[in-house]
Amino acid sequence: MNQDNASFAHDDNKAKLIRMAREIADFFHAYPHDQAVDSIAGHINKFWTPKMREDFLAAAAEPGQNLPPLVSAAREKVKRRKTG
Amino acid sequence: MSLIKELDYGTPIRVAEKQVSLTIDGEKVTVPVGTSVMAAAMSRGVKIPKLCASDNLEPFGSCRLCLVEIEGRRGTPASCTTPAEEGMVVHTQSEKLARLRRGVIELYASDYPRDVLTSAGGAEFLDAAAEVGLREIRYGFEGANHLDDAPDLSNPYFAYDPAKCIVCSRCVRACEEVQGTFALTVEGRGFDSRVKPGPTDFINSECVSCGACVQACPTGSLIEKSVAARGMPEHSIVTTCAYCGVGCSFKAEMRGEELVRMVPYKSGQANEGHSCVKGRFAYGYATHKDRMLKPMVREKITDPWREVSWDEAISRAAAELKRIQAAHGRESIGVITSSRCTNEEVFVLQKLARAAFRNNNVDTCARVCHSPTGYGLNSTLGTSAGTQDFKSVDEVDVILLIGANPTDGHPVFASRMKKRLRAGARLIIADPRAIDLVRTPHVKADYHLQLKPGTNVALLNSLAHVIVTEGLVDDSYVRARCDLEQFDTWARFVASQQNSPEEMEQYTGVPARDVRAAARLYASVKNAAIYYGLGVTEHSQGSTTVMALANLAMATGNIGHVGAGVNPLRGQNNVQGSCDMGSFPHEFSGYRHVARNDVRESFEKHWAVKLDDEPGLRIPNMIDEAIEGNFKGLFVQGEDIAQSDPNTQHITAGLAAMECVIIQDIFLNETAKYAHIFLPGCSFLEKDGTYTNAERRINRVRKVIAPLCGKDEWRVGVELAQAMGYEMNYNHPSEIMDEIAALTPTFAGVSYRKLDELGSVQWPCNDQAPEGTPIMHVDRFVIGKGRFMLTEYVPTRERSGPRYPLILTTGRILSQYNVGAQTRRTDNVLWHPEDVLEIHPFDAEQRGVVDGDLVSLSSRAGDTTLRARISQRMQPGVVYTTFHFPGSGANVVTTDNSDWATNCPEYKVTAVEVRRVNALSSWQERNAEEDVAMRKVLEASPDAAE
Ligand code: SF4
Ligand code: SF4
Ligand code: FES
Repeated sequence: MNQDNASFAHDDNKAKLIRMAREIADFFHAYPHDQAVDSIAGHINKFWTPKMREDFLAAAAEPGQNLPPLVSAAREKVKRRKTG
Repeated sequence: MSLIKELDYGTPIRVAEKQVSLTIDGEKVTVPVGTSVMAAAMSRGVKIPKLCASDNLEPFGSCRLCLVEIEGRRGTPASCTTPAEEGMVVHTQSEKLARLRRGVIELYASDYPRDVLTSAGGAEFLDAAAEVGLREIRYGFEGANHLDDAPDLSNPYFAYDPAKCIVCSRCVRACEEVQGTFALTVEGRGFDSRVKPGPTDFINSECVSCGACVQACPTGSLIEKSVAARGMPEHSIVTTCAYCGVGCSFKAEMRGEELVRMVPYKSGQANEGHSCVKGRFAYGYATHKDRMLKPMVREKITDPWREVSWDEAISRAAAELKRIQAAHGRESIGVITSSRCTNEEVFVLQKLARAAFRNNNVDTCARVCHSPTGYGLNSTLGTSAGTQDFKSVDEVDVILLIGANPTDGHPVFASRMKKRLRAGARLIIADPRAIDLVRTPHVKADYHLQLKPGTNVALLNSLAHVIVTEGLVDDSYVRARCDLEQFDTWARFVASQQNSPEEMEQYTGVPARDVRAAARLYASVKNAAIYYGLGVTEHSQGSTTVMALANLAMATGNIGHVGAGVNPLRGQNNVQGSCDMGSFPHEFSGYRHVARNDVRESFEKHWAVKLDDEPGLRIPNMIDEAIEGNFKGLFVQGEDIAQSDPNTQHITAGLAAMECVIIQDIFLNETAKYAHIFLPGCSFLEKDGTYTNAERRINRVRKVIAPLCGKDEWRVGVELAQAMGYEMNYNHPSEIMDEIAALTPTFAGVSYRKLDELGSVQWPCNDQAPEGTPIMHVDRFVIGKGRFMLTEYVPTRERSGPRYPLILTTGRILSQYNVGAQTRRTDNVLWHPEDVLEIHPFDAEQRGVVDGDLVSLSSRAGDTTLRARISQRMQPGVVYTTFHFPGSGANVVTTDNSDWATNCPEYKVTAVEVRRVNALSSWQERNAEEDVAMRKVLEASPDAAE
C-alpha cells in the first residue's frame, strides 16, 4: 500500500522513481509473485529511459529504502543501460 | 468554388427492410416503409415546396405548403405528414395546388417585412415564394401584424427578429429533437402565437447557443449576426472543428477571403449536421488581435522579445539545439506535440525528435488526459482506442456513463445520447458531481452513483462482483472470445468478499443496494455501452479503471457489436490522432514499441537513419530532469504546459532551468513566458491536414484562408530538421499522410484521395478493411482472446486530513475549452467570465463563505484564490473548479501525483482547504507581474520580419 509523505509534491527525482516503482508494484501485487515481479520489471523496461532505470537502481541500492519485497525482487530484472 | 447546398428530403430518411412502391408524377418510386410522400418525391428529384419540414426533424404539418393530390383520396393532404403507401398515385403539381400554395405563401409574406425580402437570410422562404410563383401580395400592412415586434439581440452570435417569424416551429423542434435542450416554446394561439426563449430573452434562457434553431429557421428570423454584418457567403469549404474530440464537420462559408459563418455539415459522419456553441460560433480567436504573427527571439526569459525573420528564428533554434546536444548529450533535448495539431504536424514533430534529435524524447499532451486509455485498452482488448462509432449509441439499451460530462465536454455527442435516452434507453451515471444528465428535460438517470473522488476502481470492482456472484456473466461470449484462465482468475478476484458493494461502500460512499441494482441493469440487456472521460483517466489508478471498464464489458459480452462497447470521450480534437502518430516516447505510429526490431528497421529504412531502441522521456520526466540540470532544450508545439499541467510551480521551475525553450503557438501563451524562441503557428482555418476524433475517424481539415504568419505549421518542423542537418522533404501534407500509411499498418489504406471520396474513414483502414472500421473486435479481439486484468483497489495517496480536509476535483464547462486560449478570446466569455469554486452549502457555512466570496484554495503544492459559488451539485467534502483561465491557477494547487502506469496526472483528486480571504494569492500576484514583464515585445524594427 502507499505511504503518505507530506512533502511528496516536490520530492526529488530519485525518491520519485522509487515511488513510481512502488505504485507499479501496487498494481501487480494482485498477481502471483513471479508473474508480478516479471511484470513490474517489464513495465519499467518498457516505459522508463535507461537513465531513469539506472537512477532507480542506484536509489534502490541505497541503505534504508525499505522497499516492498516485490520491488526489491524486480530490481534484478530491470535492464541496465547498454554500454558502448 | 461555390456554396455547398445539401439536399433536404423534407422528412427523415427511414431505414426499414420492407419497401413500398408508388407512382409520383407518373414515375414509379420505391422507398422504405415509413418514408413520407415528400421524401419519396425528393428521392426522385421532385422537390415539393415546403416550409415547416426539414429532414432532421419529425414532420409537423403546419405550413400547408406541401400539399399534393393523391388519387382516390379527398382533398389535398400535406405530403410531409403522409406516409408513402403501396400503389399510391401522387400528383405534386396542378392548377389547384399552385393556387393553394400561392395563397399560403402570400399570407405569410403579407406579415413579413418587405424591406428584408432582399436582405441576408431567409433564403428558404424566398425560394419557396419563387417556387410557387408568388408575384404580388394583395394584402397591405394595414391590418394586425407582427412587424413591430422587438428583436432579441441578447445572444452574442445570433439575432432573433420575431417580425420575420412565421411560427413554423422548426426552431422549437430543432431545439427539442436535435439539441435536446427544450429552450424554446410557442406561446399564445393562432395569430398571437410567438416563439419564446423562456420568460425574458435568449441569453437568460436555457439556450446553450448550439445554433440548431438558427440553421433550422427558413425565414431569417433567427440569423447569425455575422451574416447580417458581412452579407451572404458565396462559397464554402468543408473542414473539421478544432475543439473537442467529437470532431464535427463544418462548412466554412466564405465571402471572398472572409469567413462569414461556420455551418455544421449534414454529410459530416461524426455530427450529421449538428454543432455546439464552440465549433459553430467561437472561431473569432483565429483573427483576434492577440494572434502572434512574427517569429521572435530573446537571450534570456527576462529580456523583451525581438521580432526576427523566419530564417533567423529557425537557424537560431537549430543552432541552439545542436549546441545543447554537443554540451549535454543527445538526450538533453526533446519535443512536446499537441493534440490540437493535425496528424501530419504531429507526425513530422515526432520524426524530428527520433530522426533529427536522434532520441525518443517526444511526448504529447495526451499524457495528461488519455494516456491511461491507451494503456488500459491495449492491455485488455489489444488496441489503444474506443471500440464504437458515435452512431452506435442509437442502438444502446443501457448507458454506463462514468467520469464524463458530455453535455459540457462533448456536446454534439451528448445531443445524440439524449435523443436515445428520450427514446427509452436507461442511464447509469457514476460521478462525484451531479452533472446535467442526472436530470435534464425528458431525461433522468436511473442511478446516479455519486462516488467519492478517487474510488472508481472500488466502485467498478463492486459492480463486477455483483455480475459474477449473481450469475450475470455472458458465459458463451466469454468462453468463445476471452482467455479463460485469465477470466477465471479475475472472476475469483472480483467475487471475493472484499470487492462486494457492501465492503466497498466504506470507500465509495455509494449505497450497496444502488450498486447491485445498477450492475443488474447493466448486465440485463443486449446492448450496454460504457462512455467515459477524464474522470476515469486522471487518477492514480487511471489505467486500472480503464481495465476495469474493459473487464466489465467483456464479462457481459458487450464488445464487438453495435450498441455496446467501451468508449473514451476524448478531450481535444486530435487526442486520438496525436497518440496514433507515435508521439509517445516508447512507441512509433500505430502503437509499436521502439524496441521492436522489425518495426524500427522499417522506419530506419524509410528515414535513412539509425534510431534509438530505448524509450525516451515523458513530459513529467522531462521537467524533473530539467530541474536536475540534465534536460536543457525543448520544442513545444501548440501546447501550454505551464497552464495545463499539474503543479504549475514545478513545471515553471523546470522550464526556467532550460537553456532553450522553443514555443510554436498562435498566442504568446503561459509557457511562452519561459521561452527563448517563439514561432507563430496557424489556426485550424489556415491548415491542410487531418484530425482523428474519439471514434477513430480521420477527418480532413481544409485550408480556408492562407496562414496569417506566412508559413504552414507543418513546414516548421521540417525546416528545423533540415537546419539541424536531417533531410525531410514534403510538398504537401498529403505526402506526410502517404508516409504515415506506408509505415503504419492500421493506416495502410488511408490517403487524401480516399478521404475526399468517402468523407472520412475510421482506422484500421487497410486491405482487410478498405473503407475503415466503424466497430472494432467484431468476431475476435485484435489480440485474439480478450484479456481480463486484475484491478485491485489501491486508495490514492492524496487523502484529506486535518490540514486539507476537502477534496478538489476539476472539470470543464460547455462554453470554454481546455486552457481557454481560444474560447477566452471570443464572446463565449459571456457565459463563463471566470473560473469559480463550487462548494457545498454545508462546507461553505462551516467556513463562513457566502456565494461570490473570494476564497483561497490551498493544497500541499500551492495556493490560489477564486470566487466561491455555493452549489448542491457537489457532495459535502468535495469542491470543484474549472481551469479555463490562467490567472485562476487551478493547477498551482494540483499535485504531481499520477497514474501508476502512464504518469497521467491525478487532476481529479487533490486534498485542499478553503478559506475566505480578501487578497489574491502570492502566486497570482507574481504571475500578474510576470505576465507583463515576460511578455514584452520590443517595437518591431521595420525590416525585421519577412
Ligand atoms: S441555439 Fe440551440 S439551445 Fe439555443 S434555442 Fe437554439 S436550438 Fe435551442
Ligand atoms: S461538439 Fe466538439 S467538435 Fe463538435 S462543434 Fe462542439 S467543440 Fe466542435
Ligand atoms: S412542409 Fe408540410 S406542412 Fe409544412
